[in-house]
Amino acid sequence: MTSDQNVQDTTSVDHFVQQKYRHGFVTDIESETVPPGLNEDIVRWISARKGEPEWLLEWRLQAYRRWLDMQAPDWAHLQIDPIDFQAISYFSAPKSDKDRPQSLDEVDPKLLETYDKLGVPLHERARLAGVAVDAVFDSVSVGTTFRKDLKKAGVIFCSFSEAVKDYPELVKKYLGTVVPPRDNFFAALNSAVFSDGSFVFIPSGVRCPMELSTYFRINAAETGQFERTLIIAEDSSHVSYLEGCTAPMRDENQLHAAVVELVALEDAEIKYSTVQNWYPGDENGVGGIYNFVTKRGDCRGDRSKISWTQVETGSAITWKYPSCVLRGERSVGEFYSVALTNNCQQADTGTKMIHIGRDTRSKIISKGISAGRGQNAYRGLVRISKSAANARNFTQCDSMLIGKGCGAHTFPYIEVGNPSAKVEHEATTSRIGEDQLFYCLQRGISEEDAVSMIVDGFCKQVFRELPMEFAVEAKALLEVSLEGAVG
Amino acid sequence: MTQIASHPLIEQWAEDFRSQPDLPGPEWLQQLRQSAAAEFISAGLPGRKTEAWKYTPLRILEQRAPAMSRKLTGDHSESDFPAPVISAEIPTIDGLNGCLPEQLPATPAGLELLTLEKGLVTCKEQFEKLIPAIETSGASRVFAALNTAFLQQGLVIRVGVNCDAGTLLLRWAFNEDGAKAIGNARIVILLEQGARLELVEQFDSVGDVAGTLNLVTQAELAEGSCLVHTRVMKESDEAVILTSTAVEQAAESSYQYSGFDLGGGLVRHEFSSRLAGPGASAGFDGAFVLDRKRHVDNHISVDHASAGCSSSQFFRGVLGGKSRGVFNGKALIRPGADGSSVRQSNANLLLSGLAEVDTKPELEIYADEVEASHGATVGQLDEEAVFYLRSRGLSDPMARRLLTAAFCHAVTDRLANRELAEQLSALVDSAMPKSMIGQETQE
Repeated sequence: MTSDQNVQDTTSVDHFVQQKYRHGFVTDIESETVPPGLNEDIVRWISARKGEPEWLLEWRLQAYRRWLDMQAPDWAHLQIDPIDFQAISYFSAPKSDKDRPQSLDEVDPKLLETYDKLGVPLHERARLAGVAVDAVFDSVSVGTTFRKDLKKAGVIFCSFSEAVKDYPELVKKYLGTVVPPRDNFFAALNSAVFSDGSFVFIPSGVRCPMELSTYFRINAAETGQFERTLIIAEDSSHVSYLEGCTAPMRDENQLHAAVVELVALEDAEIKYSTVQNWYPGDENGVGGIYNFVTKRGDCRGDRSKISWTQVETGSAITWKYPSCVLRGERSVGEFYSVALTNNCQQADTGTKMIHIGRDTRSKIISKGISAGRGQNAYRGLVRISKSAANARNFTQCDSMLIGKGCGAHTFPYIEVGNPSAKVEHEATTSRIGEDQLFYCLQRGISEEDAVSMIVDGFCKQVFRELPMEFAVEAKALLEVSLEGAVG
Repeated sequence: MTQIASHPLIEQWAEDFRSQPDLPGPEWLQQLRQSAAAEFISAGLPGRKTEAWKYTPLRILEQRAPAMSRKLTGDHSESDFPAPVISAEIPTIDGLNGCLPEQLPATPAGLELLTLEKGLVTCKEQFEKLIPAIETSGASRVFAALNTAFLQQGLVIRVGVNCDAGTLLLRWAFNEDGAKAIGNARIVILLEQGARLELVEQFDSVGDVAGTLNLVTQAELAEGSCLVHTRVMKESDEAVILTSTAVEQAAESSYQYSGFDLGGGLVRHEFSSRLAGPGASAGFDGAFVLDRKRHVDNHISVDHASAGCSSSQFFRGVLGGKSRGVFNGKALIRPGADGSSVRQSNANLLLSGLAEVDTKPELEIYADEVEASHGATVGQLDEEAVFYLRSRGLSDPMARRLLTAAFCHAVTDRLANRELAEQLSALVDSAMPKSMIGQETQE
């Protein structure tokens, strides 16, 4: 990008932000980042900045007003200093290329070392490290090729902002129907100030020709701290969606509050895989991302299926419960999770399976690994409503402890109101198997390798649910995340 | 006491507290009563948003609005008490409408029974530490606070060093005098080093009396002592029984609870056991067989505060009618409590489309050298087993009833006292939900 272009861009943006908001917007903002604090003016500014229609602004404002009456949840097994929501800036535009590192030489060598360990391809490293994209990598062409294929299949895959402009009816029909703004404190906050995110629509009968990934959707870069994703799978459609990537993501925003809504209609299937590796803070727990996410899938149609797979290794604090509402008859919900906490990380994560329809089935496999001083909690709800005849749930939730200072906790809620339901829950917590370790050491395997091998085996049930290339990376990721946990 | 209560029922009890005459007792106890009253008034009645009470609504109590029972002691008539669950001649104490007799039975050597009043003098030092130890703050502890605020009478059971005190029976009943009132009682159990006691509590009334009992039990188990505690709930659907039991355990001591909730309209048992010394163990077994609109809630919390301790929870539930069963078992393993082992198991059979079961086995672990596991299931009888029995000539309802009873006998089978186990097995069989018995007579 030339300096002339930069000047021109800045001028037009300045011009835009300096114009008075027609609904009485008064906050004087000169830059692309709003001053810290949250009020109705900020919500209006964000909406105007994104050129949103009136109804969406109203929706945001209502969410904001709801949020004002809500209290931050304190039930999670997390030690968090109170968050000053007025000290946070609620919108910052993506960094301009000028501010980015111009080549890999300018990137933190520690970060590059990690990429190396994870086996991230060279050309992707630059992108992940935030090097100005046009200088190094042909992701634009990759993105465009994918887009063409998707368009041919009738799949809509775009940023949320684009969807609001191009498919307002679809957004209006589904937005907030799975996670209503009043759902919880962080969902309300997200609804008021969400920055951007992904929108996916798979039309009836279409099997999405490729795995959709935020990673390849180039305009997804730095969607910001309040991401909103909406995926709709119409009758008999199928989609697999990958979120995040295994490489460590550096982000200046400490608080993340995302909302993900999935809608599966009759016979549709959505597979949602996440690898979360936000900055976890240093060894002493200084810094790191606070990740408060509301993810929910609604199996509206009969025989629909939603499957969540997550590998959570990052963030200082993780508060996340990807859930399934099994409304349609014979619908299926699945949750596979690996959550790892090392050093001072804390995670309170799990799932909710709400069985409403007849013959619904759900399966929960959760593997928690605590090392260092990490605290890892599984919190899950399985609710079988009166109407859910012949519902079936199986839950297995295992925790592994590595080291004296860590903690592993389990809080499963099981509520059953139908006599034909079958619900099974089993959980174990134990330290890493000493006999297994001994066996490996005796065969000449180093302690570190032995631990990662055992952990890999412990997580196998989950890893095999991940798309293949993700699974390979996830294994490497656990190794990197566990560094220093042994000895 | 000028606080404004947040709930009419709490206000009513607060008024009862303000208007009660000065209660006897040392200065520390007076202060404790005052602060406990302040606690229950400010906390209010627990509701859906109180995590520990989210599955147990107190509507029945709100509707009934029982007044604080004034009558504290009295001689009880044998006709108020149904036959004991154990036939052997054992010392028996009868509590009517929550009030205990002044005359306590003769006891074998080593076993001492005292009224709370006497205990306050005889066991002064222990009491000063023990009585305030019961937690009274927050909405989830309202009934412990209420019990402390009105603390006046109770029973002290003390067993001397290395003495096996045998079995003691405590019968609780309501009669018409206790209708629409709430009785507060406190049991203090002190087991000295190496002592052993089996305490059987029977909750059973002659008529269908709408009585309410708020019972707090505190036990202090010295090194190597053993308390075997069995509760048999046979009350009518009108009865409301709220118990809260706190056990403090020294090294190598053992507490074994077995509860059989076969009656009572609203029954809630809260347990907290602190395994303070190495090698201590606590076991909680229970069977609840529910029908109609009955509600039973078992809340257990075991604190592994020392190394090498073990705890187990084993509950079986059978639910018919519009009943609701709640199980919440928690084990906390503190840092340094290495070598701890925890087993939690809760299995339930739902027999009716209107019944509900809510179960939550929790683990909170801060030490790495532990073995912990929990399992919870809700389901139906194994159809293959039913088929097997039918192929042997049993009718379908008979086969189901036999299997359901066997499901509960897994709990009675764990009782060490075989005579009691046999009695209780028979009681469990006869407590089977009406729907099952109905089916059988139809055939």
